[in-house]
Amino acid sequence: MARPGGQRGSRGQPPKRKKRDEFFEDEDAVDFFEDAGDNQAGEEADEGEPSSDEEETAEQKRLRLAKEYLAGIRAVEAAGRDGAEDGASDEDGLDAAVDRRLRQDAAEAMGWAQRALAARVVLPEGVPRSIPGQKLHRGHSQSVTALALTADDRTLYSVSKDGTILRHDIESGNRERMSSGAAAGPSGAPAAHWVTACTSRRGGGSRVVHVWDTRAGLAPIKSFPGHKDAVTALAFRLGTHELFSGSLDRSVKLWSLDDLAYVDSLFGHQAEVLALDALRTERVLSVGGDRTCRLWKIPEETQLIFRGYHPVIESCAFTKGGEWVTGAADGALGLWSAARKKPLQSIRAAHSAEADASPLGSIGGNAAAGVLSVAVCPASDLVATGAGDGLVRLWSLDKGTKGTKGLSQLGGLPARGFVNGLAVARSGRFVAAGMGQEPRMGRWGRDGKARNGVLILPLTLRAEDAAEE
Amino acid sequence: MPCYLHSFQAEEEDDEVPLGQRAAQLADGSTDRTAMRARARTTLRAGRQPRENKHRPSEASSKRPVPVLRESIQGPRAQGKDPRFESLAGGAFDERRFKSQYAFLYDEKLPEERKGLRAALKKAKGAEARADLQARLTRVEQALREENARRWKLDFKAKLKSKERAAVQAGKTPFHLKKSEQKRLELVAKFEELKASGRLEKYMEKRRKKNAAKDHRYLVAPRAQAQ
Repeated sequence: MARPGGQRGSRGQPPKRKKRDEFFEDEDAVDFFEDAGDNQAGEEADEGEPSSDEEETAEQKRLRLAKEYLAGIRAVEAAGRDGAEDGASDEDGLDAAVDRRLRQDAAEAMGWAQRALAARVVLPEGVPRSIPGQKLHRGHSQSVTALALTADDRTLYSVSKDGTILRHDIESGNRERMSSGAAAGPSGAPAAHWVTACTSRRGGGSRVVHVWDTRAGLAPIKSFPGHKDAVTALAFRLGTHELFSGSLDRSVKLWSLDDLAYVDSLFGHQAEVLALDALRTERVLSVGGDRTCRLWKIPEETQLIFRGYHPVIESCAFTKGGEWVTGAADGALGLWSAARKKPLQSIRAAHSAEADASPLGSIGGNAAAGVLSVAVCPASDLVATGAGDGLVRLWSLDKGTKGTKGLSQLGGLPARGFVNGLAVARSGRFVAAGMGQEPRMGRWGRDGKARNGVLILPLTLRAEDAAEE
Repeated sequence: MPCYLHSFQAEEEDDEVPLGQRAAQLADGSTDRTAMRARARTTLRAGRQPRENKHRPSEASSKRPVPVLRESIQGPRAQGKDPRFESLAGGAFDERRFKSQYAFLYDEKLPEERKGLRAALKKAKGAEARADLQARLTRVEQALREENARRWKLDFKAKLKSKERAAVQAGKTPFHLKKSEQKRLELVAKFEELKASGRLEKYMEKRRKKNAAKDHRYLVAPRAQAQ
């Protein structure tokens, strides 16, 4: 959404504005409507510096587009209000409505706002064996280890222990192989962008991060050695081409795909890094075997350390800029905030019956209980978690007066096997689960009856008006 | 390189700073990367100051590699507990109570063990194994014997007491036996028992031998030979 390398041009002063913040007059206001939701940055990747002649034109164009956008919103709001009240002396009210709408759009774009999706989800009664419309995309001969969904919800990339990367088209269900046999190891993790990055077993071992261009071909365009042990997690910073990688060697490394170069290393984890997540800001979250979550502030070169009551934490996902959900090896879920060193909420036996949960928690006591993957529907309050207990559980984020209070379970969708990867569509229409017969990081559990592949589970959403009633 | 949208949130994300103020920060360069890094470095270098809010997470540098020899799981060290001072561990020892609560050991468990050891001894082969089993058997038998002797003494004392109580009720003035007197009476009762069961001779013989061995040291020692 925001262009990498965006320039701060000189601000054009529009003729008259009533109490607008400077923010909305800058160039990036344009991005909110120009490519809402579409992350295919291929066409805009190489915008160079505008020369001084063109600066005016570009500025004027932005101004014009901004005015059109505002006019559009104004019209929509006015139409909405005409039906309700009389139009007399409504100018201020309309301005306020447009103001509100603009702020809401900005907040959503910057990741501060959350749509109320969870209340609209309709789940089947009980847990059926399969839900109507679900589809298993096969093609991997071994367990799928990671998934990535593009921002437009149309393409999905999956990587598996058998060393292949598959590109799936959600609507048509077609699959095609993307990699040319460079094996994708057990810790492969593609990212939704025009390049995918994944680790390899051969050709450098699983310590090397390979980068593919989805438009270019089957061979990786670049390989990044540098980690001293297998790479377990990969994440892109949204809206940019910065890649973070976490590894068993306890470090998190930054790579720039614009320059195809190594940038930085972050040290601090005392045991292996198992999962990473990043949003738009220059902060990355990592969790690992030392039972901590660490929020890395990259420009300041510091880390914030969060500790809870969990054993090894295996998965994490941001819900919004300063809050995230983690899944631990004993089946516990944690909801964290960047302002508190302990979790806001810790749910002990999220993926197993309460009776099975021992009072001290257990690592390895029940291989099927460990929460292997957590995913959040972007800019909403819907969270999905997956373990080996046959269910993809859906949770909603409850808000209290002081912000997010906790997670409450909505229900589950059937998914047999170990859910090694999860992605929730931005529209909330489906959940994609990367299924395997074995867990992602090893073979301490095996479900022979499960099927390897990507399971697309459709979600039924009530209409918005119906939900508000 | 990074878009300024991102630097808005580089500061505390939980603070609700108005957009206008953010824009002002941006304008005067305080969200610049080097400025932020310098600020963070001074805060870290200033030392572990007490945080204004202790619920906030701790902050550390991300540039120091973690050594191979490290504490892999950081957390509060497990406190050792001394059972002598722990209120939850045990409490004062009351022999009577203990023996009454654990009477089942002497009534059921040890006799079982003795039976098992005897059977094992019959089957065992090898001097070491037999010696080991024999030692265990002896311990079990002695424990049982000791408990029986204790119970017999207790029983005897209780009998004396009840006799005395009856006499007092009948009108006699209360009289408490000395310990030595009680011992003498016990000995007398023991002799009666032994005589009745016919083991008196053996018992006296053992007693005599033991005393003789003890008195042996009082015999005159042979003179040390002059070198």
